[in-house]
Amino acid sequence: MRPRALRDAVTGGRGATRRAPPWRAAALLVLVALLALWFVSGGDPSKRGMAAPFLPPGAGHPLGTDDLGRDLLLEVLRGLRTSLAVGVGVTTLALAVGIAVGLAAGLGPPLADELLMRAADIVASLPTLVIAILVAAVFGGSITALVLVLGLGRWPLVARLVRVEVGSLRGREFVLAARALGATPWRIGRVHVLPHALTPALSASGILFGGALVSEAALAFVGLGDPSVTSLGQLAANGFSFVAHAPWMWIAPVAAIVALTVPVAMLADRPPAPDSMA
Amino acid sequence: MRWCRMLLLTLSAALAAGAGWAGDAPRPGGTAVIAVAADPGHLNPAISTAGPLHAVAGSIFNGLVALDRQGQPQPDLASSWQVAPDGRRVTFRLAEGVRWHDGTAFTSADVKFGFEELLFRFHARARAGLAPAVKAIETPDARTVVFVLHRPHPALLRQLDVSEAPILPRHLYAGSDPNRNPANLQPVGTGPFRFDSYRRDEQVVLVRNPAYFKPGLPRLERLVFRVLPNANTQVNALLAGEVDVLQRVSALDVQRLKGQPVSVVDTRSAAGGANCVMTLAFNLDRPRTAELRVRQAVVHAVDRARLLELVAFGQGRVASAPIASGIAWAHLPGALDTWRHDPALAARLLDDAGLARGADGTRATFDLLHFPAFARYAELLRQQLAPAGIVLRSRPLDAAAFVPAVFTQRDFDLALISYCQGADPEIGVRRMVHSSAVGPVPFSNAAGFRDAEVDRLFDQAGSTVDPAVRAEAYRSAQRRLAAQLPYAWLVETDFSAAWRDDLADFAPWSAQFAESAWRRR
Amino acid sequence: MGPDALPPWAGWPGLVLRRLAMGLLAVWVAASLGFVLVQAAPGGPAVALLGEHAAAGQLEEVTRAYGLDRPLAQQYLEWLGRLARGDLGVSYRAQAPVATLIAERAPVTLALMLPALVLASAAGIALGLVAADPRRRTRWVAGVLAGVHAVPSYAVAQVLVLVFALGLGWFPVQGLVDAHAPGGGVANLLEMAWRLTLPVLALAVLQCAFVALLARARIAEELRQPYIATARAKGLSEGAVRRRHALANAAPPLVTLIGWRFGAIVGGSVVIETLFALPGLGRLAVSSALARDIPTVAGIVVVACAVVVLVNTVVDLVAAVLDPRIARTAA
Repeated sequence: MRPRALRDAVTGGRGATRRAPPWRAAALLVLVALLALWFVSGGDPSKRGMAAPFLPPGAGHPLGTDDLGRDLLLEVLRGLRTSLAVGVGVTTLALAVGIAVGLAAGLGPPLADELLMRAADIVASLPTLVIAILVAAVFGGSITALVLVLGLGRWPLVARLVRVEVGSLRGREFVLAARALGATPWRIGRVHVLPHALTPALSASGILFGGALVSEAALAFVGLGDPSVTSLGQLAANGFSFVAHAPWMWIAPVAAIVALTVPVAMLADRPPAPDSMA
Repeated sequence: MRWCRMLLLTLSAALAAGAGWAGDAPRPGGTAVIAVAADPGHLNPAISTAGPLHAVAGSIFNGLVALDRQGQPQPDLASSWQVAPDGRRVTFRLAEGVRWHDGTAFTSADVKFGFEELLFRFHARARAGLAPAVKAIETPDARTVVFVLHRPHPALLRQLDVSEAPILPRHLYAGSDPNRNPANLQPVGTGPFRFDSYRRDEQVVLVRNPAYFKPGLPRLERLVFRVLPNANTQVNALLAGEVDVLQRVSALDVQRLKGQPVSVVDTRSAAGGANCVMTLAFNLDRPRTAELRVRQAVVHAVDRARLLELVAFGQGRVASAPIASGIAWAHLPGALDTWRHDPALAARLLDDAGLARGADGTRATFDLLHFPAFARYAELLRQQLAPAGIVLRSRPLDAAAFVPAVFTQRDFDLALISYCQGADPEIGVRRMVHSSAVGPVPFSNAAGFRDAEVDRLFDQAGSTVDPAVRAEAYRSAQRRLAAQLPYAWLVETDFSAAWRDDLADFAPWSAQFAESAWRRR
Repeated sequence: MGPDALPPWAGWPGLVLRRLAMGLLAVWVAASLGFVLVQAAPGGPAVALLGEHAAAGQLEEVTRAYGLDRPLAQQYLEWLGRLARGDLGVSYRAQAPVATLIAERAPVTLALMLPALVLASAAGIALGLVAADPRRRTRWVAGVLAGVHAVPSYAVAQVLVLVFALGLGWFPVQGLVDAHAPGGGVANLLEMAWRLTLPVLALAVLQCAFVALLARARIAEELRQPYIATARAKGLSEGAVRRRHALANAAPPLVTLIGWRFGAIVGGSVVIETLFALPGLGRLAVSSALARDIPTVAGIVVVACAVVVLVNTVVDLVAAVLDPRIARTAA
């Protein structure tokens, strides 16, 4: 489809002059608070699970305890760590591959452009979650494999954004000047184009992060997650089994997932990419 | 006097009609929907002891006998039996007029084939507990089967019901590989219900067998087994009336069912096993677990009461002897009383055994193998052993992977197994502790325990019918087992079954639970 | 070349051919992925088919039966050849061809996904229209939508079950068919439609928020164009301006973008089917994966990819109908 329409659809138009909506600040605060929890989480592993089960939220256990007497706050924090790790991993991988491909397609010969963009189209039309299920079946739910699959399934979005930006930059004066001075495409890409191309790429990072979280949680929810790590999806599934007796066991992990993905989505404050969160 | 008789007749007719209105007389027809927690996989109960499979397939087949609620044998495919004075020959007279669902006549040849070619080769409990006792099976005529035994085998009758020894059709299985036979997915049996359809991961439908050899049975028209893996969904469906029966309800969910038009029954037996004890098997072939003090330390580190409370929600008992309390005449109360929860003692024992704490506080790491369904037990054990410095690595394996890993390759340190002991120690305990049961047969002697004294005591108890001699032998054996600690017997688990009050005469302690059931409404 | 002379690869036939070629390529990639993952499984492909601790004799048998000891290139070509014939392999666990298993479940999943897509699109576009109002008072709608679309689908589904099935009792808790009374015919279809309501809603709510955000962006973009001012000057009402001009022009790329959402719906249906115990492809994928039944999952990957590709192609064609310029220019 037409590049401009694509870019505008994803980035919400050239709205740089709009006033930032008030909830962005709140979303940022929530995210920072959650990240700070990363350093606080852990707790004493030898004391894990020594409390009474099904305690409602109260003193000593801010989120209550689960069916095996474990403090739910600690479990949720553990799950948050996993989610953050997966989110960061997937986002980094998708950005790295996507930027590289986008740059190469935009700056290289037209044949490379065509091939790379076609490859992006093909990868984008693969059902990422179903492939993640296959990978989970083969590799036993390993979280490393999952991050690889999700990251390698999401790069086309980034590549397209970067390509479009690079395409519009190619004709600009500073690039032509650099070419005239004899700079190689590699140097042009790295020094001149990359900084500008990063902006749209990074605007997609919120979407990538949120999508990775939701996918990991969904897989863990149906039982295909990594059994050696605590995952919010797994906590939500376990919590649902006991929702009639101890609703906090379900509310806490779901609230945690929402608390992670909503601010991220709002921070991007752009409509989500159409092929994300598959 | 004619008017007198007329009056009596009228009165009795009125009474009968009234009883019918009140819904107290069994009526034919209706459908019962039963929730099962997992897809059965296939429908051949002779080659597997998996619970979900027996829950469904039990209604399609019969055994030679049926066990009632007290565990006493009643006639099923065998209408009567006689034990010879020397106890070595048991003669069964088969019922008349029994036909397979495809119309073929049922004969003694089916029984002989079923035991020799199927059960003794593939069924874990029959192979481990019954096959060694049977010398030969004779079929003098089409209605008679004779079991010739090496020695008197007191538990024989309890090992012949539809869960322990279902009878399959010879004309469909002879000469084939039982694991690949298409009849596994389109079963033909003699039971009260015939196979109708099987949609994998969704449901199995059975319909009434009009030619069932027991007159007047079954009463229900259809049985539908719905696969609902989530326990919460099962209870919701029961409350909403979408499902009529739950075969296993946790004690926690039983609370939710109070005040509802639902009956709950606690039982120690269910389809696929009775007197089940959650047991931790130590691999005695590995140096660390071969050390008695290490095993004692594990036992003292574990808090079994807490296991019962948190995992089974109090449904059952802490195991107080190697033989379950349900087998009261053999059970030795207090045999395991010395196994109290004492973390300090555990630490001292480990120090004595030479497993000192490392820099990070850990003494040893053990692999714990278990079914995914027992994950909560595994998690609690991990928590309880951690303070003692033992790190448990939990490895959940489904049945197809667990059996070779534990029984063939013996690639484990600890294994969590629910050993169902049955109605007699010969059925389910002998295969755990006798040296002859060490081997690749599934759910045999996982620990690899070989003790001449225990062997002798079990051989003695197994070769006489004198209850006093047997009881004494078993008691001595239990003392020795408690001291030798090849297994850590953790908790005896009970089952609760729940069904809507619309259904009557339900028998959840047996795999043939729906044979007499009927719908009030 | 004059302005009306088209290069041979443009125009309607060109569009269709291009889309189909890309689609075939995508399916080929998916099929190759399936092959590679089976071969790369820890322990080897025979173990992937049978499980970790299968007996050695069984492994040998499967190796012979499936030709797993032949050269990789030959196996790969045979795999592609079988796929072309519609043979997706055999599920060891179910003792049945994978294609049969998939064909049995596909209608349920389609009955779940298509209504969800249509519902989400319609509601989403309507919401997007409302939220695209350049006047400030509807900005909060965008905020709410951004929040809603980030909630995991199973949370939405569980809330729906808690409220409508358990709480109000309007809908059943599980299953596609009433186990007590399996009727047939039209009554059966109506019953199934009723039972699918909650699952479709659960799936649609999330996707609706997505579509609404997309629609809002596109329509807002169109509203900034100069021709809108012209339309307003002509005296058209605000609503007519938005519908007739902005929406109409935003429609073609929007349709394409909505088509891309289909891939997400495929993923979302996995969780929904598991929750509501619906016998569809998503549930088959999960239960097969849990049982390590690799051939079935690999088959589902190929089929899912083919379906996504097909829907994208159809959607692209629809967009081209709405905006003929798409067919004329090289994409």
